[in-house]
Amino acid sequence: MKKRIFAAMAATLMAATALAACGNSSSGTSSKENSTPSTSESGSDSETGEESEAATTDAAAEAIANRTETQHLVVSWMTWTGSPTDLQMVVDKMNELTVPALNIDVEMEVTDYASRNQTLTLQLTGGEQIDIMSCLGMPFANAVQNDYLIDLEEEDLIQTYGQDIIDTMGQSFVDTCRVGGVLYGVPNQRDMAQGRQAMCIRTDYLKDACESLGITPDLENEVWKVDSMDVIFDVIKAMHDTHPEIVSFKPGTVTNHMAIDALGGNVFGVLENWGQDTTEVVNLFESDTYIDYIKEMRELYEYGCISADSVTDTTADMAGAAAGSWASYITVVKPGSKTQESKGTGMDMTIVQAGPNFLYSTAANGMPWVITLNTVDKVAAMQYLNFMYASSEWNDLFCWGVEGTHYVVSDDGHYTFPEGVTSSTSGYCTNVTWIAPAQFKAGVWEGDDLDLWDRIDAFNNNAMVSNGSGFIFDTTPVSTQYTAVTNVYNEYQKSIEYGVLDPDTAIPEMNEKMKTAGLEDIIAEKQKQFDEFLATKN
Amino acid sequence: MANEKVTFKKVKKYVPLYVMMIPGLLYLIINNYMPMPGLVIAFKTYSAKKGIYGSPWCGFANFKYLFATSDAWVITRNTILYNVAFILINTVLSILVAIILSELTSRLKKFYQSAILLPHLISTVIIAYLVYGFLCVDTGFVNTSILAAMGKDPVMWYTETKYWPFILIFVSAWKSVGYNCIVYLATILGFDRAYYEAATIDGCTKIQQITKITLPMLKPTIIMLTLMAVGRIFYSDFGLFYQVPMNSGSLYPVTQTIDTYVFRGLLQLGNVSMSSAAGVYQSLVGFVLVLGANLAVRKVDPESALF
Repeated sequence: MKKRIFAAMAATLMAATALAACGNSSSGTSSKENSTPSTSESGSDSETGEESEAATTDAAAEAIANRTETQHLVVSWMTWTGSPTDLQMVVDKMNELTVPALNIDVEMEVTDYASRNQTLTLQLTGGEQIDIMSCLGMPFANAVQNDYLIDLEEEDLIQTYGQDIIDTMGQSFVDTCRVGGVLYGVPNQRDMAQGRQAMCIRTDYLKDACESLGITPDLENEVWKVDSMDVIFDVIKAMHDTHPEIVSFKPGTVTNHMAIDALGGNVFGVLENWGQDTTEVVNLFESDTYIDYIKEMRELYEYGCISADSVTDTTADMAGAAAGSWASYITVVKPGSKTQESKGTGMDMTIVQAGPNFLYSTAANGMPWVITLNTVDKVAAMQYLNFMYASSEWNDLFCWGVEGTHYVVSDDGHYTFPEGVTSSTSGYCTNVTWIAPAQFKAGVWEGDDLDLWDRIDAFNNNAMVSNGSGFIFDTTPVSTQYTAVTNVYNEYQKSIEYGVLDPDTAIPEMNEKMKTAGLEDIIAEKQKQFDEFLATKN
Repeated sequence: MANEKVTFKKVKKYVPLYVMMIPGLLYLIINNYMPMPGLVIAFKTYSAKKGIYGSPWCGFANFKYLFATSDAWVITRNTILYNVAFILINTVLSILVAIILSELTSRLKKFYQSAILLPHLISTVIIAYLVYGFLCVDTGFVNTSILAAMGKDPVMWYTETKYWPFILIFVSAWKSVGYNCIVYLATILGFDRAYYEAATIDGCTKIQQITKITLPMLKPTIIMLTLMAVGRIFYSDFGLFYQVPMNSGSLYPVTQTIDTYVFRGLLQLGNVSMSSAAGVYQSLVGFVLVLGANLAVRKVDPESALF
């Protein structure tokens, strides 16, 4: 009997130690490698000191002075494929900047896209230290709803320690990350607006099609602007006539072709007319905008332009075009689009755009940088975040790696690979430079024009702004309905939107099902939140 | 006193076995029992700031989405009917294959066994594309080679719901029979050959040997494996129902199961509580079903019941 008790106790004890070990390893990371990069590198020391000096308030200086020990922070972000090989080399260089300037060093956790959301959920619910993270991979609204993030204005955090962030982004863009009036994140510098109602078409097929139609495409400029979607539909049909051997159109996110603002990041309740002169949240699936567009798609499908396999084909648009499976696909336009699409498909592509450049409701707050509730030191995290927006060296490192190893600066000022290094052999080629906090402060890569950042900046600032800009929809009050409606939409979306089903019967059927599932509750809730949002905005 | 000594001796005899049990037991405790208190999350409005135990209670609100819509009936029906079909068909086929393999004396036996097992080792994503190779509308083998040769019109496989129950059952059988038959085969090979020799001398045919000797002796194994399968009747093979139909929306009425419904619905929400609620619901129903099935078995044949 005694032995049995002993065995049971031993088992519990072992279980307990095993658990304790687990706990230690997660919290232990914070103390490890605290003193790796020492305060050497005399050159960078003074330089960075100067740079952040401009905005360093007394409080910030005081916080740095009070930091007797180097503060260790964890920064989390993602790439498509996971941690780059030379990440540590880059992080060491970053620490050489921040240890002298802020007495902060960091460790970077880089996850791949596929496991990002799951990994972050486990880390954040499990209390693991993550101080700063990029919300790409875990939707910002979800992070807010689950209370993973801290209020950046708590005790005037951003006003005191994050002035460079506000200077870099501008207050109006910063304000887009408010949910219920609370600032949970800060946007980053990238192409935020989207050129809508746009297609990416293979130039060789486009030329033949236009010739048969008797119109001249504008191939000189980066974007061929047309008056309406009708021109695009005609071109697609003409492509099928001239080249029936290839699928002329691969449909995708067709709502990007509609003159709407998918308010708060989903199509259950939208603003019509690009969110201009309206604040009424309506049901997209009953609107003329939707029904007319779907009828066009049905016509294209029956004409033979769309493949019946498109509903199941999950090949990426670019990859399919590169493989010669289809000649055109839906895209959104930004400066550099033509170069990007042509590079990605390995063919000369033409961008055709019928709609405006559009700043939709979740354009700016799609992937903000945030401070999580597991941060060990809010002030240090904010100071580091501030540095990420202020320092061009930091952004160069983040985007392109270490000079000499991962990139060199060519004579005309472009960044490019060093001799003998390619994108596949480079130890730091993340392909996610657009999540960088202040990308515009980093260099421009070979192949893009040197004035790219200015053009993107102008593109953002001149875009048509939706009335919903900055609105984030909190789905919590209607989560049951949201789940159900999402499933109905998934069921019908592709077969309706790609023209496979007859819209006259299928759209009413979908509407019927969605209403039973609670679409009207979602729209009413969205309208309510939107009205509140508008009230706080004014 | 004497009694106690006997018990002690017994325990002592099994000490090595208990020691061997420790790692498995630890795994079970850490992996299956320690997280159990976390189930409360299914009944709470989760907030990371307040933590699992600090979050406010919300009753059954998180469960509502599973039952609130007309989908509830469809997903429950699909999950249960498919699993019942899988249990029946896969068990029968596995036993059949196991018996055939056990009777084979050919040197190719090992090869057959490996060949049948192979599909089990292939990732479902790849299986999905193998199926796609057959069923793809424009270029698939069935449409271009078989139906065309027979002079029939091509079928829109991924939008026509009526074929999918058969396709899924076929794929499931193809994938799992090889693996399931291993247990049966091992059991059959463990039978005393003397029975069969005696039967042969008495003039028993092969068929009689199978029905009178092999099957009755296999019964406890069949019951045990079936009971275990019944416990998972509320779970579905996610890959089979999500990947193989290529996530085609039109097929949802016949391919949507509880797991795929939860996945599709919550993918955008990322709501921890609601996904836990689905898990709680599935485990509870599974638990009740195992108890019920075991009870039924005990009524019919007490010897074979698990507990």
